[in-house]
Amino acid sequence: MNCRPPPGRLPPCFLNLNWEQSMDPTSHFESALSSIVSSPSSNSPAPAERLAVNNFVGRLGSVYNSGEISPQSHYMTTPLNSPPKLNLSMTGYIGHPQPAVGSPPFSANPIPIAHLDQFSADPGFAERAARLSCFDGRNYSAFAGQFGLPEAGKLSRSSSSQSLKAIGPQTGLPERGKAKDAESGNAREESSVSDPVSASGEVNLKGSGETNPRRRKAAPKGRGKDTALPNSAMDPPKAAAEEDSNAKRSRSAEDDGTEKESIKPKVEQNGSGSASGDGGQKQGKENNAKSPEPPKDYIHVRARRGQATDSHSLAERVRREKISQRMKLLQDLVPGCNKVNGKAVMLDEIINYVQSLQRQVEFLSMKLATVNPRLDFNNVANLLPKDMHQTCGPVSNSVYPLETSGAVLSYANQPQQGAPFHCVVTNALETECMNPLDSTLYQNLGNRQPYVNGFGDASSQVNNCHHS
Amino acid sequence: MEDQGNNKTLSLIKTSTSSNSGFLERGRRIKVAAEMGLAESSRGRHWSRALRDRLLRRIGNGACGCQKEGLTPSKVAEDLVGEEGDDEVIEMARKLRALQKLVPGGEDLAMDRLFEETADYVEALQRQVNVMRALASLLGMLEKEKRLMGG
Repeated sequence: MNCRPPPGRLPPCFLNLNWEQSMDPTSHFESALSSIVSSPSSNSPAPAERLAVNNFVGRLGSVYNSGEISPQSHYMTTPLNSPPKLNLSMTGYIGHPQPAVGSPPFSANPIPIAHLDQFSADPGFAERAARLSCFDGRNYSAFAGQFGLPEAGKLSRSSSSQSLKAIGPQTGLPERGKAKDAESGNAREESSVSDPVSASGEVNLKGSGETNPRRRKAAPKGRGKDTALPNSAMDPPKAAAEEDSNAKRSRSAEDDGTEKESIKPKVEQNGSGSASGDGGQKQGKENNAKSPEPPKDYIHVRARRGQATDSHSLAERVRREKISQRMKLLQDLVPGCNKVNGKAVMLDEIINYVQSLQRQVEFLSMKLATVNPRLDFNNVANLLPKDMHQTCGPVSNSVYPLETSGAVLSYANQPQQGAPFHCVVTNALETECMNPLDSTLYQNLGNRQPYVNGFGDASSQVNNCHHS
Repeated sequence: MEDQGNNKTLSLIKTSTSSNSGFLERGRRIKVAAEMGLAESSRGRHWSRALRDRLLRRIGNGACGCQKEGLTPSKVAEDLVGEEGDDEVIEMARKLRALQKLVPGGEDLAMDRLFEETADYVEALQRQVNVMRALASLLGMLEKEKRLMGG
């Protein structure tokens, strides 16, 4: 097997070793390889495939090392021949190669692994990498769920954690089937997840563990510390997804652990006040009394170990999860929000972004006012090339010029029909010409500066020209 | 001919600059139209309805100049915010209130709904900005062509 390490990346030799030395997972590899072979557009012989896979994994390593998290759209795992873009998925996974095969990654933020030897340490890694490559992106959420990724967002966390667990015991099953099983067996599995997770209760859980006493807000805080550990076992699947939103809460976790009653939100007080007594007693019993939830409800909240199950806290939890989901959604929308994890900082970013967008709309509308001083959109479609002398209708009637802007754009884009539009503009400009303004504005626009900069420059220019 | 064009340009600029209100008025009208288009683009949304109401009210009241903005009492954000420290709660409340003010119709939305509406509003704004930018560049290009062709 060739061992051509791409520069600065994980030497595929490592993987090759694993690949070839694998005794137990041999069957895995074979099945994985067969699935690779069967994946579309993959008709190259085995060694080349392995090379490609190694290259793929190497690239993953490098991407991972850059610590970058690509947007969710890069989930699409392409067949081997196309450049792999599994940045997000693998980052979430690679962060924790150490835990047992079936255990989910624990933190929302992959810990950048500078030492790639962890890859080689995990015999199942290459197998999983191969498995990744055979996805054709059909089941994004389930795929993400395989690795317990928080950015899966839409998929409920319980199913994501348990689908990951499903990978472990099942070996040669096709991924898609597994994913479907995973999703259907939603509620059933979560309790089983807790066992391997608690068994491998590790440092990774620390981050999530801190959030736990806080999360069980209905439970009396005095007992938070006692049950912190078993709680943490159950929490990673959810904490992984919500850790960013709980980051602030974890800070107050210790305080709450000591105080009986948290004073903070009134809503919570209601819940905690009523349930503090009950929650304490319920805790011990709740640990084992997890009845399988009926799948008929569409809002599924599973009581976690040590958490009170009264309606208040459940509703609270559902609400909080909804909120964190929405915040994730916003995070994807607002550029540059992926790195920040604090609620407040993100809110700041969102507010800034909305403000800047609104200002942009305002600025662009002013600009349009100068660019087409007398353009009558309503009559554009009626113009003929010969009609050079048609004076444009008054602008006042074009209260909604932008409603037809789409039509205008498509209209004007057609070369043969661009003339009337052009003529309209010509006429408009002849009657009220603002050429210097236009040229400067046009230049600014043509530069396509980032919105903040182009904004400021162009608007200042508008002002200057306007007052000259 | 070019001189003529330049003179005309200068004179026109003078007249246009003298009629500041014309330009501003036009700009404002275009902005109203843009926002109306924005609201129309996502009809079913709460913010879209609120925006449209606001615009129509403004247009209706614009003549008499009265600014009747029925400010619904904003939901106190402390209720909406999850567990936080005291300062943090205040911080968050302030930010949430700011966001509520930004998003049309956000004043009477709870936190989760607020985020939902914000996400949709942001998307619509992005689309709107793209459309307007494309339009402006298109028009600018056409003008440049016209100038180059010795208009």
